[in-house]
Amino acid sequence: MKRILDILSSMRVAIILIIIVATLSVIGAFIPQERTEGFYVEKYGSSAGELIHHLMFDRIFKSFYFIALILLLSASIIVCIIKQLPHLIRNLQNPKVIPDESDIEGKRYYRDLKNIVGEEVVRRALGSHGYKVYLKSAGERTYISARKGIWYNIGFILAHIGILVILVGGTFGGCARKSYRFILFEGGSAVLSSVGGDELIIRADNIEKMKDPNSGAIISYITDVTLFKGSEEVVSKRIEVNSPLEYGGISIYQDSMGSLNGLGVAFMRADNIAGLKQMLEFFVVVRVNDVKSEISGGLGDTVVIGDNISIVFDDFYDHYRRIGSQDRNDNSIPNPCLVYTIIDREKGIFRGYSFMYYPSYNYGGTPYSVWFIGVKPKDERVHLLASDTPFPLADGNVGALKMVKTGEGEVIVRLVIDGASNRVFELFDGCPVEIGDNLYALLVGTKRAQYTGLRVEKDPGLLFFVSGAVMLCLGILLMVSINPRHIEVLITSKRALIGAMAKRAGEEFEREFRNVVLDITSSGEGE
Amino acid sequence: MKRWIIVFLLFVFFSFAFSTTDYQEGYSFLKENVDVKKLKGIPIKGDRVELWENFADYVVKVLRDGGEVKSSDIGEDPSLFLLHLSLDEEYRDKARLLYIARDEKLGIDSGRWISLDEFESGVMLDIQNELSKMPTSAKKSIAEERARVIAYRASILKTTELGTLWLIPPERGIEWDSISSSGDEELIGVLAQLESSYQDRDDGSFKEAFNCLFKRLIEYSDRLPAWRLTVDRLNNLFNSITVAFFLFLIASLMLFVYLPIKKKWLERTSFILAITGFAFLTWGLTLRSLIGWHLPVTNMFEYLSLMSWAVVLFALIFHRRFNMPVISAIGLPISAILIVIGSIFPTNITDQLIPALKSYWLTIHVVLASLGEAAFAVGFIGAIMYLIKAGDEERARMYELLSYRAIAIGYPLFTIGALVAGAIWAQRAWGVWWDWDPKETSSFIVWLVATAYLHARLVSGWRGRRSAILAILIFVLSIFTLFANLIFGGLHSYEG
Repeated sequence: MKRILDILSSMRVAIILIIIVATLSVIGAFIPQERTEGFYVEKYGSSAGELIHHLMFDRIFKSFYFIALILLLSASIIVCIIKQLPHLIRNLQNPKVIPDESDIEGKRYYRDLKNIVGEEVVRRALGSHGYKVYLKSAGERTYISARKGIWYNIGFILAHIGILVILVGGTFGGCARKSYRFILFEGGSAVLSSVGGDELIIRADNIEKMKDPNSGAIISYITDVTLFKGSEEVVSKRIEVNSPLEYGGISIYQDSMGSLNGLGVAFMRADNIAGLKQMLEFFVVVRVNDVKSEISGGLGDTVVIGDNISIVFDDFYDHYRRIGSQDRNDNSIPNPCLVYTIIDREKGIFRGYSFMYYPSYNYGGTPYSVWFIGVKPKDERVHLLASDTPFPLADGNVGALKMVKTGEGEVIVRLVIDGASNRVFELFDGCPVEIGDNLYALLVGTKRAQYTGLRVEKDPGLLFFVSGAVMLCLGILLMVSINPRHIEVLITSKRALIGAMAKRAGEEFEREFRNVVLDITSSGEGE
Repeated sequence: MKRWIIVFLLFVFFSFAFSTTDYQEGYSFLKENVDVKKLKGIPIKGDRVELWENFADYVVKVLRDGGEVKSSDIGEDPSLFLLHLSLDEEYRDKARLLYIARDEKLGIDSGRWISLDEFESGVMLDIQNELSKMPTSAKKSIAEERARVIAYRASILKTTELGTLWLIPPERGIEWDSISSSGDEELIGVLAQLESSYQDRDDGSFKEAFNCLFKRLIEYSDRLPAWRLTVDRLNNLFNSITVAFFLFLIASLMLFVYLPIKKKWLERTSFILAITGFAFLTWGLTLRSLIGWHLPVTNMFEYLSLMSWAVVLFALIFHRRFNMPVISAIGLPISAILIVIGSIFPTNITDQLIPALKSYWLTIHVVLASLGEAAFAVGFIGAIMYLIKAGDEERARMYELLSYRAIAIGYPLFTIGALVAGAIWAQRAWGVWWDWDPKETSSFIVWLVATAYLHARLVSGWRGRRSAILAILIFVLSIFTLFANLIFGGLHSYEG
């Protein structure tokens, strides 16, 4: 055990550990960290890329050997502190042993007072210069040990504990830290599931770029946010760069801002698909006698589109397929289709079909053109959502949209609920999908809007860092500002010896030593 | 007293010697705006690229066929489709696409490729919008307003990264003749130079004309309060940092002459010159601080100038304290070199900092880090001198002690500044107090080595050659840290 402690406290070992940590850190700085395996293969070639991966150089600061080195370095610091403690305690107590005369004579500053001086005189002289005096007598020998600047030693220990706390906190925080970015449009909400379970929900109430009124330059990016725990509002704050929201160990930062195409999604509750259809509003462009107009209405509604001409929306199919003479919903191919009837009091009644994805295809042979351009819920709000931002669903679950590119190069939108692989739904424009009990989701196109990019951090190492940094700074300040000094006086039956030393021996200390000696000798007892 | 009179007289002399009213100097903070560069390959990579891959294929195909991509082909929102679009270098010229870097002033949130059409119609609209917000006093005449537009376009040159003048199309609907009808002879001359240099593709002449033009324009601007404009004029009266640079070199040269011949007047004069240089440098940095209304801590030029200032400060203090002129003899050229390196980077002064830089933690971080690194520089000089003077025991011991003292002063400054204040600032600005960013990592290494040095010296009594080598290593690594972000990129990449 002693051998292990000796090794750990050895300066050579500490230096070697520091060199290895520094070398690994350099490697970490050279090689981009925490990218995909393919990135390294592409950048460095297949064999070097694989070697980097196997040696964990791609995640060096989280590798077991780096953490082990930091722990060894921490152990080395702990041993140093432990070894320093008895020395500190000794300095605060009366001396246990009286040193030899040669020990005093060997000090950098030394005077032989020749005459015998009284113990009280020495005490007074040292005390008047701010020294804390400790004493031990044995027979005719009296040993006085006076110290000043003991806070230096405390600073030394504090600085070491500070470094230790930072190292441990950094290593722990590096492994346990959770951090991710997400995008919100104004009014949008996100579930902070990765850091706060499904309970914490953040809402972006206002997004703003603050500009300098004179130059027009952007001076700040601002997001007003409200944080909810369940349905209860817990905190509201205006966050901007350098001013994050902090709540329960979670920090939310302003990360980016800009404009982006958001995905419009509506969530509706209906007993069945027939009930859902009644909740929808259909948008069409109609051309009558070369005049185009955009109209909308629900199923069964009659809308006037010209003199003595009106249109009735009869039915809606999201996966339309005609089998024989039957109009059916076939769930394999999304194909939103609106079935309508045009009533022309002069020409007659025409039944037609218009397909959202095939605008040029008009089925039914009516003399009028009808383009089915969109479908939205009548009453429900359309949420503007960004890909990969987890959002709260009405049934208490958490959903997230993913934009995925298919083998054919088509981009499709997937809704993943609670991150479960068997609860993934593909969303197609105009095609409602049942995503839960009587809960339907409908993609209603995209809209360009300003977004705010937020970053969530939960770093358990932060507390360690802050306390470690405070200790380190305090320790360093104590060590820098305080000069520990030690004056020893040995009074024997024949003479009195006075020796002194200081961490930073200089003119100032030399002067002080001279003054102490002068104070002793001026009492008439010394020489 | 006599010494300070000499310092004052020197200051006055150099002020006049280097003073200039020539507009060609231009406003220092806009000098770099027309830093014309050749097109650089800027591969844009990111997860969103693949979404628009089809479109990229389309663009490439059109270009291969000798066609031209137009806004109408792209759709209503070209910026969306062109965002993150990466093209092979060979297609860039044909594509007539510009890379617009992130530019908060123009409201461009992220770097992106845009077509010339969009540049003409969209970005110019943005610019016009920006111009409409300009104070009316900036629009004394139509000519000036037009010239301002051109100047703004020219200022975009730098941010486009393209820089080749032919890519900046002539202003639509603006007749050069009508501009020159303002009757302002000087302005007419400048605009004529701007036009002819533009036609001749003469970058140097264009830059010169642009600087003159912008100086004229900015004078009409009330963006800066009057007292700051006065300070700015003072700053442009002469380049005090350049004066300081020459004074440091002369003082150092005199000290090198003094060292073998030991003529006391040489040392005294050189010390006075160095103090004068230090005063000039302080003057220059103070003016910059007043103009930008922040301490000079926001870019590489400012950081290197500040470090240069700190190196001189420590060198002169240690020179005096230890009576070792060689510290200044080596310290002053180090300081001068830092000024030269700094001048490679943009020297513009801005009071419009990006939000992340508006933090007092940044100021604490940079000021203390530069002071710490400057002290390490003096420690380095002491260590070098120790190794050179290894034969002269007493002298060598003093150099070794000096080196230790300098590092002992630099260590707490560096620890609190570079590491602790830096981490606190990073936590506030980026949300992460330590990210193993290259600059962070190299600072950490410097700190480790400095810790090892002090520990070895204090606890294990390391003296002499071994500790001198460690002291040298500390400064060498500090210099590496200075430029780590330029070599490896990372979170500190905006410095520069």
